[in-house]
Amino acid sequence: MGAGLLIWVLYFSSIYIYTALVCARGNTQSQWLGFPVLRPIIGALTIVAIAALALVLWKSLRGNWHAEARRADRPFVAWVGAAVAAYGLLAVLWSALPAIWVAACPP
Amino acid sequence: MMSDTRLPHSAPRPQGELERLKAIWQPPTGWRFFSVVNNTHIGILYVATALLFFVLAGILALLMRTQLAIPENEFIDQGTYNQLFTMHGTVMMFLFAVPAVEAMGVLLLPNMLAARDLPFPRLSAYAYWAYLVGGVVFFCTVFFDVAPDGGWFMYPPLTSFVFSPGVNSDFWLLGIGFIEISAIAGAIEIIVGVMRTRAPGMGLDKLPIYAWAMLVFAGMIVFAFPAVIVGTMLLELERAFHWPFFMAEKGGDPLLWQHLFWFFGHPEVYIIFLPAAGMVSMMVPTMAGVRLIGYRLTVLALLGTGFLSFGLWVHHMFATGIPQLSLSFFTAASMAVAIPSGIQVFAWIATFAAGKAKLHTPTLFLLGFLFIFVLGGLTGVMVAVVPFDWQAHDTYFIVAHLHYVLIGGMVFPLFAAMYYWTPSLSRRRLSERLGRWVFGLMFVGFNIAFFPMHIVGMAGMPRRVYTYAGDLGWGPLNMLSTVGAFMIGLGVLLFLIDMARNFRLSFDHNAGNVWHAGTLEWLPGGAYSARSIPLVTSREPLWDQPGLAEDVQEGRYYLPGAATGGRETIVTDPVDARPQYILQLPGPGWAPVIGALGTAAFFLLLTVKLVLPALIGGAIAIWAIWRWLWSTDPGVNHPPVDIGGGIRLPVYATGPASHSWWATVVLLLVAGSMFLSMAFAYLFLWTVSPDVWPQTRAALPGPAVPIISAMCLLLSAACAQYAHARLDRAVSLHLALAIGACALLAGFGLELWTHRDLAPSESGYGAAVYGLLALHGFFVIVVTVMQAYTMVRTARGLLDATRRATFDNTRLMWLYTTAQGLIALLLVHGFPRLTG
Repeated sequence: MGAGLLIWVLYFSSIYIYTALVCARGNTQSQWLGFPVLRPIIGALTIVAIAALALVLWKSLRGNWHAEARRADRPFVAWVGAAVAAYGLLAVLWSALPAIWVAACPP
Repeated sequence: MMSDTRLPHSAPRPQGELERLKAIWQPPTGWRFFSVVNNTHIGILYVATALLFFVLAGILALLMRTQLAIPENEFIDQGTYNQLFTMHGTVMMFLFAVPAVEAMGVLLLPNMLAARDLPFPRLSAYAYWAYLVGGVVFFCTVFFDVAPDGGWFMYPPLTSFVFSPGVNSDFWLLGIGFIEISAIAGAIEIIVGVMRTRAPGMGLDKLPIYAWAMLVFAGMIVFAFPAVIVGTMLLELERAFHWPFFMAEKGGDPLLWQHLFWFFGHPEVYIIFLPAAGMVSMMVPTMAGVRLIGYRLTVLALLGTGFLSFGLWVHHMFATGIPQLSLSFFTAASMAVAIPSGIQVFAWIATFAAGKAKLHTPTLFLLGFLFIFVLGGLTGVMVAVVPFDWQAHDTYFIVAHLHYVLIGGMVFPLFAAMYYWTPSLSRRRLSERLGRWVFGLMFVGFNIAFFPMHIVGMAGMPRRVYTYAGDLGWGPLNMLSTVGAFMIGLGVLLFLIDMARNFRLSFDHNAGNVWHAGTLEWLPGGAYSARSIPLVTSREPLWDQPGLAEDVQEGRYYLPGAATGGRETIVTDPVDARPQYILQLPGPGWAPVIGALGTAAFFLLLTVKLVLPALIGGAIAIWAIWRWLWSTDPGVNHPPVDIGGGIRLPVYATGPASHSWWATVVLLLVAGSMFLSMAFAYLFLWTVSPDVWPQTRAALPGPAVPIISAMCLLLSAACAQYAHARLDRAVSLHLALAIGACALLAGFGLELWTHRDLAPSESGYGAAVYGLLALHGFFVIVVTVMQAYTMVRTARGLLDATRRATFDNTRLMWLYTTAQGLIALLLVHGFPRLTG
């Protein structure tokens, strides 16, 4: 039921920790063939998180309509699972936005 | 199996059944009353004590406001003022807000879920007494000029041994550290209570919103409080033994404290707000006379807030030089968390709009809450914006914002709740006439006191100054704030008069359901909650199940008497709330009180460096808790009982179905969070000062001893699994426990020995390594005591393949500790090799 937000927690921790490490160690460790990789890596993590959330969302919604959810409160559990995943999706996208515009580390 | 159609049944109940139930739940009288363990009595004491601290901390605030009323005032000197603002913040947060919402949970939840009591009544009693004694002693430091004076968030280096050599900071670190343990005990109680002791049929979709809120609240405590417990432990180690966790010149970092503190401190705001929001979601529908609009969305909002509030802590650290992009992540999360709050606010407004609310006192406080909290939320979004925060940081704007959020978000709902629920606990309801005055004074007073602070804050007045120059022009607005503060004080005084005049504790002759509420706490009953436990088919059973109150009162539902002859409650499954077994509950006893006094003595005497008396206190606590545990795990001491409706339930359960398993798993989550916080501290210090870490592999201990140490841990885990399979043979069990304990201790001893050339006070690296070892060592000792306890129980014939809950709990903690040890070894020996 809380899977959607758990994914957000993992995503948020990884982008925060990764950025902190890159900035603490200088940009030298975050280059590949001379190109800075901080933003591409944040982008990749975002895509992974979105994919995982989409999976949770799809599974919850399917569970909602599925015949196995016959007992009274199972649709409720499925609904909350889906809603939580949708909110998680919003939170991931919103957290990722600054990476597009904001410079990573202070000069 | 359940045959719902048979309930409510109409057969007459046996004579004397209700009287026996009443006698069993009767609280002890005279001085023995203090051995009471029932949630209703402990809950009342708990709420009253929290209110006492609210009044005391409020008086400190009035003293500060008196000092600030005019420029260059000499009423209070700077040193005293520092103690006042530190104590005001600390007492309000740790001794009023968290305990008050937890206390309301202890008081209300079982009745709302139609459980006879929470699953661990003695744990609630222990948590309460520890809080009372610890809190009162902590508060009294203010009379002896030894109160903490470093601000409620206690930032080092100011609070470390160099700049705060006195015992002031130690009182904060040990006193508050130990009250946090009491909060965690309460959280475990609430999680297991909400998940496992609901009325039959009360599936997750019929759970009262308040129970949802308390579930999320307790879950947040489990993950947030360990961070500050580890933080206080590290700061105390630095103060007492000079382990330089926070000393930059030795490879420590004062920012580590801020991370650990705010990782607790920001969720803390929601830890206080969510239970209040939960209460609001119960009161608004009743006062409006319609169901809550958006039940499902409100559940989503509670869960969303619970998770997202852990991604906000850095917004208290915007001015510390953290990389710009990292700050922006936290800005984003801080704005995203406004969505769930918004959902709830709109749900309440819509519910009010859909119904016809009469302006009774609870309604007034609810409207006041909405007004103030929304303003506080809006300034919250303002300070989530980094450039604005840099302007407003450490000014009175922040003081205004946080009081709008906390007083609006928690104090107003709490007052609404006290007016609202008093009729269910007292012979008389509180006075409507006085209530309006209380509300008027508090609402108007609040806005007069705190709104001008936005303005003086923007004009540049910093927080925590004991006075200011007259030519700055802040005088008139400060005088206004002071007038407002005294109005709030007058409102609270009137409330206390109202309580004294009208509150007469009574569960069975209470004023009754005066608001025509729909939830189960309004069922008639006594200290045993409802006489029989209803089968719930809707969210507002009293609105939808006609005749429910009378049927429950006449014993026409489940468990109409005391089936096992003692205190008991029905344990149900966590999702659908189907009855699973009968949990036999303890009656009054002194062990929780003595245990709490011993624990308080241990921590408080340690603060003033009376080591021997402290150890005696600790030993008394362990003895009392051992005695108390001895009567748990009764085994199958009663044949299955008929609870009515064609259901027979066993009286004992073990393994994942049992309440004790659940509680232990929650405790392991607390333990895991503590370990993660410590591991974070290690990695954080490495990030800021890699130069104090071993630069070459030669500088590290060789791999042989850590490998042997790891093998000891694996052997210990294997013993746990072997014992698990051989509970029927006492000899094998003894052997496995003994070898397992020795291997665990040997693994820890060897690890300590490999670091014999490293001193913890040498550098941030030494401190971090020994910090990890100290935490692990603590768990090794706990497991060893649990193993010894299990061996004694086995030797006395109190443990076998069926009566095994004690062993199951020991095994869970045992396996956790071996896993934690292995991860610690990897971190301490593997990580420097990876990076060096």
